[in-house]
Amino acid sequence: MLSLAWDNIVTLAAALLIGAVTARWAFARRAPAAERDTEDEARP
Amino acid sequence: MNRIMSRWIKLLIGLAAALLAGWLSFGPLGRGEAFAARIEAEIRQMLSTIELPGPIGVQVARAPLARVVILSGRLGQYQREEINIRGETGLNGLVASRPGVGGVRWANEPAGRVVPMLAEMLGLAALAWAIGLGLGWLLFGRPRREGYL
Repeated sequence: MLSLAWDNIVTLAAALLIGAVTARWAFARRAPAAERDTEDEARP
Repeated sequence: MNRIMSRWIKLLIGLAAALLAGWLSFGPLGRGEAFAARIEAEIRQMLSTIELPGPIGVQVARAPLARVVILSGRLGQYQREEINIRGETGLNGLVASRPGVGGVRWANEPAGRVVPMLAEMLGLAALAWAIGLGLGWLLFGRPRREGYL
C-alpha cells in the first residue's frame, strides 16, 4: 500500500491541495457582526 | 439551514474532485498499469537470480487490476510454501515480501476475493483530501479570536 502511495505521490499531493482549497471554500470565515456594522456605518 | 446545506455540497464537490484526480491518474493516465508492469518486471528479475526447477510465469491480476501476483509453473507445494528461500517461507513468501505486492496465488488455484487497485487508489486520494481538509480548516476555518485572552 505504501508503495502504491509513493508511486502516486503527485496525485495524492494534488488531492491534499484540493482538500485545503475545499476547506478554504466551505469554511470561509465571515467578518464578526460588530465589524460589519462599523463598515456599514462608515459608508455614505 | 441553507448555509449548512451549501457547506455539505461544497465538501462533496471537493471530495468528488479529489476522487476524479485519483481516477484520472490511475486509469486514463496509466499510473495503475505502469505500477503493475513495474511489479511484474521486478519479480521476474528477482526470480531470474534464483535456481528453480523450471520457468515461473509472473502476472499481476488484471481483471480487476489488483496488487495480487499470479504465479504459474511446475513447482511443488514444498517449494511454493515451505522451503526457506532468502529467509522467506517458500516462493510465495518471497514474492509476497516484495514492496507493492498485496497477495500471491498460483494460476491453478481458485481466485479469492481481491481488493481492486483502483479502490485502494481512491481510498488513498480520499485520505489525502481529508488531511488537506483538516489542514485547511486549521488555517482558514477556525473562529477568529476576538480578544487577547
